[in-house]
Amino acid sequence: MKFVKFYTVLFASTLMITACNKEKLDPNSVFVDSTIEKNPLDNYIYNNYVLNYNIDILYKFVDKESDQNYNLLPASYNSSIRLTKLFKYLGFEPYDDITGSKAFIKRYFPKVINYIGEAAYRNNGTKILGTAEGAKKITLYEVNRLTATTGANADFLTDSYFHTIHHEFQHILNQTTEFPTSFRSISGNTYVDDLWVSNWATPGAAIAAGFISPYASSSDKEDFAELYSFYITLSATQFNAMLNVTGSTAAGRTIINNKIVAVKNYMLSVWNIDMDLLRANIIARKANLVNFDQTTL
Amino acid sequence: MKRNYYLLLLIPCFLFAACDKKRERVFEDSPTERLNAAVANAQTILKSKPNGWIMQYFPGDNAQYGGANLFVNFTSNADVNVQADYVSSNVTSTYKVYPGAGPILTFDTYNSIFGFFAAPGAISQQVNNDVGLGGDIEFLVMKATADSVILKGRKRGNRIVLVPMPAGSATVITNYKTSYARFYSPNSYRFETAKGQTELEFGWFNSLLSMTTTYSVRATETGVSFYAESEIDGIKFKDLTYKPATTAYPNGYYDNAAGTVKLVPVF
Ligand SMILES: [Zn+2]
Repeated sequence: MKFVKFYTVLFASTLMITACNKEKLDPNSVFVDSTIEKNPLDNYIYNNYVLNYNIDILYKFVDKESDQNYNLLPASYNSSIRLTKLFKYLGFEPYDDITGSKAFIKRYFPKVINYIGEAAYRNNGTKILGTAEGAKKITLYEVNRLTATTGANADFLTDSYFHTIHHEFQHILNQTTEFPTSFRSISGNTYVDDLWVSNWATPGAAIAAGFISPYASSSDKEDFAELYSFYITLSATQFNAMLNVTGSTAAGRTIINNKIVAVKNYMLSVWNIDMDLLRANIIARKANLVNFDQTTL
Repeated sequence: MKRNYYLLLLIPCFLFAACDKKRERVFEDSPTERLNAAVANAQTILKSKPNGWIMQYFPGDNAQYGGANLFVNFTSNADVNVQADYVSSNVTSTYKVYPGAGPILTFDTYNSIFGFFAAPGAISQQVNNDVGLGGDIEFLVMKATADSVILKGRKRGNRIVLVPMPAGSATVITNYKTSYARFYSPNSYRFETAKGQTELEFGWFNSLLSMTTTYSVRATETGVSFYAESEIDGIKFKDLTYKPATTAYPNGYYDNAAGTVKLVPVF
């Protein structure tokens, strides 16, 4: 047994799950100790997040703030620096630019951002990549995968963190002002709930059924958040490639495009945000990633 | 199985909490003051050793995978340097002592030396997908004095002892690493007593398995130590001392003070 390594056969078929818990955050659960020396990241977070956005980042592991059902690893200090700088650059500043101030993020974004080093794994090999608890806290996993190499890869950053961040943020906007019930009628009774895991043989099959991703087929709320996040974080070329993947159909694309129109209308009429301008801002930032300093605090 | 166990624990916890509120306060200072004092004491003790501590670390439910020696040095109120017998890494990360059910010691940024034990198995390639070796990174400080610190893992409940690292820590660490390599290099082991031999094979990490029993082993400077008092053929033992090679035992062996139990490496 000593020499037998444990390889997870299931790992190959690992499913990326964005779970959306609705637990309440205990306002007294964050312990602050003034006797602990502040390091450069602590100071950066205070000056850039707390003062500007009234948002705190828990990059040091706080057991009570984390899902105690799982074995979780803390985030590393160096990866936390990168994600903290990138979070502002790719997560907050596009909204600041489009809305004209920091007030939008300050008012609506969750007050606590929690970093976890690796994903939360279930015994069946599936893992959790992000959770949002009400409007209070967003938890990001696999922070330790962020390195000098992956940090320079805009697609990696989108897939690993920023798709989740914008997806969860959309849920929070929806909790403040619901999207029109007419959105749900577009895909009607074709949502498959938990069966999204096994219902689609390929991503193309989901597209053919009018869903931007398999997870989007789980409910209208997830569909709405997935459409929003994929649309604003991918270039038009990347988004079109997704819609035209093997197995997709023109009929499915039409359904998705109709739903995109509904998401855009909601963002413009309720939040005064033009998703095409927001997308252009994010895509420009991704293109300029090579010039962005991720390590200097 | 595990779920049921926790459910059973919940009920007495509620009862205890209910009773606790009615108990009259007999101490002069408030519970909060006492807790803060305990936190401050634990912090001061941990930081008081210029050479740091030798942490006798055991992961997993019931410490079933054997243990390691972690060499931890609390160099400031936030930073901790960690080395270990099982790996050559030397890693600095952060820690904190904060009030909970008592003083809680947490290693709160990633450190690969703790990470190997604490990672989900999908990451560490140990045991299973979710729990892995099940190593704690948060501990309740049960006792903190100048000569030892006793911790209890918050998830697994294992007793973890810290003893001061003596002067000349570089040599001590080298000795531990040599001892670790000597223990880990055989393919398997066997116990020998007057009653006969018992074959053992390695389980995960540093555990030795007979047909009926799991032995949780940690290498020491002089030999090996077991997590709890163990037994073979009715003979009880906890620490065994390494004896160099003889004609009958060309790879040496470990034995107890009475010489009634031998742990013999098999290559
Ligand atoms: Zn969601």
